Amino acid sequence: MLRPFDYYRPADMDEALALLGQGPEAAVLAGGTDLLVKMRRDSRRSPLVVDIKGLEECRGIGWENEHLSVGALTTFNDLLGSGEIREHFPLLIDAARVMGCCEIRQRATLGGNVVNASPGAESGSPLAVLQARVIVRGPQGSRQMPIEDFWQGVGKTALFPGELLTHVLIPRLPPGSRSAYLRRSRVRGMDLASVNVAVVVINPQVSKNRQIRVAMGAVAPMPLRARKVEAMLRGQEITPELLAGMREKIQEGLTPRVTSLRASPEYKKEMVAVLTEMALQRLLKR
Amino acid sequence: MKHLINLTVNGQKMTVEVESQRTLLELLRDQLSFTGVKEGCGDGECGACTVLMDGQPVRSCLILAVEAQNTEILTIEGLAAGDGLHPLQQSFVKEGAVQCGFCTPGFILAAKALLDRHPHPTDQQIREAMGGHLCRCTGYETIFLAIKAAGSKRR
Repeated sequence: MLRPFDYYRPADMDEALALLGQGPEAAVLAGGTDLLVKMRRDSRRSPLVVDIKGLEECRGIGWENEHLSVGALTTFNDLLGSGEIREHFPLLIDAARVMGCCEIRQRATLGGNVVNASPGAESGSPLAVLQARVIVRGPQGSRQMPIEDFWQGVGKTALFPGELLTHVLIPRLPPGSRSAYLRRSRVRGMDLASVNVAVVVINPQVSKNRQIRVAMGAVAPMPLRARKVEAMLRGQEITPELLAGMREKIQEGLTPRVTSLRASPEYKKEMVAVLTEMALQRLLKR
Repeated sequence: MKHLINLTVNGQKMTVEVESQRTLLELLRDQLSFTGVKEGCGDGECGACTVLMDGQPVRSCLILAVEAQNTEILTIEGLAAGDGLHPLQQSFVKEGAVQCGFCTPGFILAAKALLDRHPHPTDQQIREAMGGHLCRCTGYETIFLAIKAAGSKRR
């Protein structure tokens, strides 16, 4: 049983912001697949639930100049059905396919996954490696920031009370870029990622112009870019020696928490190295 | 806070009064007596509470009843026409895919949605559709075979 609360479904943004302005404990409901679990476990209490599914402006996927704008209410099944995502950001398809299960993907939204700020969220490392930005709307208007600044810790974001995430903006990648998302989980059915890796390769065919970006999930409080590894791989011919160096470098400074239910710190560190190498091998194939 | 909502359950239009904090699962089971909808984990992990909402499988424990406004819900009670069994139900019986039966309504409804989308699903598509459903009795193989047989029967 859930504790009693009031429920409103605003028809437009002004109404939504007015409701969210009523108190800092107001909860935003989109897909509900995280919020209702938290409310049932009593880790989240709220006297007021604001269902934002009536906000049409938070729906839809489309290009705006050089960014693909993805509405916060886009579900994981919507991502899987999007030709733009499939063509330009296939790593998000890899991630959406393993997010939850059919029933969860039907409800869970990209915005909710971002705001929930789970260290191993399926969309986390892909959006970090894509250098996505988020648009946030509040009583003072809207503001924008890199997604890496939006996440501030486990379950913590840069949202102020009364604010709402409305869109995720994904910059267009240069033509010919490739991307992949790989993860380990305990079981083959529905499970959260024990550890995950997202990789983008720009100019895969010409090593001197090649740029590689790597982000890791579930190894730190937030999805984490492996910037030292990126610098090490940039413009280099990929040799077995370079990959061996990468495997060491990517583990440097990583201290996954010991209390994880899904995998030991040693396993996670080993696996980010292995998954990154697997992704590179897949993406650099001619 | 009370809400009056309109929805269709198993083909029957209705208006019901619900409290904000009631889940769709509680509405269906406790208020409307569709006890084929099961509460397993209550956390969206097990799939026992799966129903179809506008044709798509969803977890009724993770949806508020008030969110079902203007939707069409199908529970296991509404699957078969008349007194007979739906082909999927027949197939589950034939393959011995039911033991304690607690997970069965969720599996069958998820399978119905799969076969509606892909009348002849691949093995991989069947496994994906089953991915969020737990069964502690059968070991899954008979369930897989039942869905596969129901899929090939439609050819």
